[in-house]
Amino acid sequence: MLSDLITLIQKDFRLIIRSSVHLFSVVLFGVLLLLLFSFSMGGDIDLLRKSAAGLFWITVFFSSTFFLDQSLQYEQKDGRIEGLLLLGVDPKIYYVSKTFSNFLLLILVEFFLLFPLIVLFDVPFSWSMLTVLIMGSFGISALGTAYAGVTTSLVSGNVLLPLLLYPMLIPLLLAGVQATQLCITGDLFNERFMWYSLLAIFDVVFFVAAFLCAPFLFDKSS
Amino acid sequence: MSASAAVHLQGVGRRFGRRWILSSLDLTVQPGETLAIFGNNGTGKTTLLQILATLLSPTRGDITIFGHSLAREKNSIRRLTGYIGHAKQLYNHFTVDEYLELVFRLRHKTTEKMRTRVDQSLDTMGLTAHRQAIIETLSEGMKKRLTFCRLLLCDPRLILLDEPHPTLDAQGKMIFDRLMREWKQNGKTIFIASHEHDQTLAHADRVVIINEGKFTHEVRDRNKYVE
Repeated sequence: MLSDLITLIQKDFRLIIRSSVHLFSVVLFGVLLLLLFSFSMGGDIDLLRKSAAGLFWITVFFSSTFFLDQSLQYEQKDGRIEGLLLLGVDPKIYYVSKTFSNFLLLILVEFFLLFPLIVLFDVPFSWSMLTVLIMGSFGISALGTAYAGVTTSLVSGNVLLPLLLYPMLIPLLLAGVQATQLCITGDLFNERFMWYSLLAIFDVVFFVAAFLCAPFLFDKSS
Repeated sequence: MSASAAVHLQGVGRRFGRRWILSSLDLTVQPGETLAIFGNNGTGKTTLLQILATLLSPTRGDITIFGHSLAREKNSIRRLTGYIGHAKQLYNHFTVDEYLELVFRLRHKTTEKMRTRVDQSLDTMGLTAHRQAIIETLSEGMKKRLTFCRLLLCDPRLILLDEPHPTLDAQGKMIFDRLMREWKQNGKTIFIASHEHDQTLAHADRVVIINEGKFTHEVRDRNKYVE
C-alpha cells in the first residue's frame, strides 16, 4: 500500500517536472493577479494589509482549479487510470496519491505567491500563517481531487468543476481568510484557533468521505 | 460449470442506456485454451473483453475467472489478468524504461529482479534500442509493442487482446506470433478479438462469432472455420 502510494506520487512529480510549462503558467497567473490587485489599491498600506488575506486566498482558489482539473484530465486520457487499476492499484490509494500530489503542488505554487504577497502587500511572514496555508491547501486538494474525479470523464467537465467545487469550498475559504487575516493583523483574543478548528474539521470530513467513495469516483466498474 | 474452467460466463448481458450491447452470453473456456472472437464493428467484442478485464461490470449474469467471482473478487481477478485494448494506457512524458519500471513496481510491489525483467521484456519486443526514448516520440507500432512489454512484465494467466495487430509492422507481427506460441506453450488462456482472421486463426483453438451481442456460431476446429 505504502509502496504504491510513494510510486504514484513519484510518478505525478515526474510528470509535473516534464511538463513544467504548466506549473509556470499557474504561478505566473497567480503572481499577475496579486500584482493587479496591489496596483488597483494604490499605495495605502493599511488597505493593502487588510485586504491581503482575502486577495491571496482568491488567487490560490483560482490557481488551484487549473491543475486540479489538468492532473485528472491527463490520467483520464488514453485509459491511464484504467491501466493503473488493472496493475492492481487500489482506487483509494490512487485518490490519496492524487490528493497528496495536488497538495504538494499547491504548496509549491503558494511558496512562489508568498513573495509578491510579502513585498507588494507589506505582509509579515509568520509560521502560524504557514499552518493556515497548509490546512487550507489540504482541504482544497482533498475535495478538489474528488470533484475532478467526477467531472473529468464528463463532457465539459472543466466547466463543471468550478461550478461544483467553488460553493463547497466557501466554508474553507472563510476560515482560511479569517485565520490568515488574524495572522497578519494580530490575534488579541486568540480567535484564530476557532478558524483552525473549522479548517481541520473540513479537511478530515472531506478527505475521509472522498477516500471511502474513491472506488466509485475512479473505478468505472464499481 | 466446470470447477477447473479458466473463464465461465453464464447469462452475461451489458446494457448502455436502453441498448443491450451484450444480450445473454454463455461460454466456458478451459485453461490453456486460445479463443478467437470474430464479429463486425459494434457487435460487442470490446465490451466483452472489457468486462473480463474488470473495466466494466455486466448488467446481468455471472462470470467466474479461475474460480474467482467477478462480482465479488475483482482485485484477485486483476492480478491474474492482462489486457491490451484500444487505449494504450501509456505515460507519454516518460521514457520507455521509466514507464516499465512504474509498471513493475505497481504490479509486483517490489524492485527485486525489476531490471532483469524489464530488460527481458524490451529484448523480446525489440525495443532495447529505444529504452531511453520518450514514449511520445515513438511510432504507433512501437507504442503497441510497449503495451506488450507491459503484458510480459505482468505475466498474467489470462490474456485479453483486443485488435492486437493493426499498428504492428511485419517485424512486430512476427514477434507477436512468437509470443503467442510461447504463451500457448506456457499454458496461458488467451482471448483475441480481431478482424485479421488469418493471423488470429493461426493461434486459435476455438472460434466464436459474435453478432448483436450474442454468440451466433462456435467452431471448435479452426480448420473447419477456414473451410
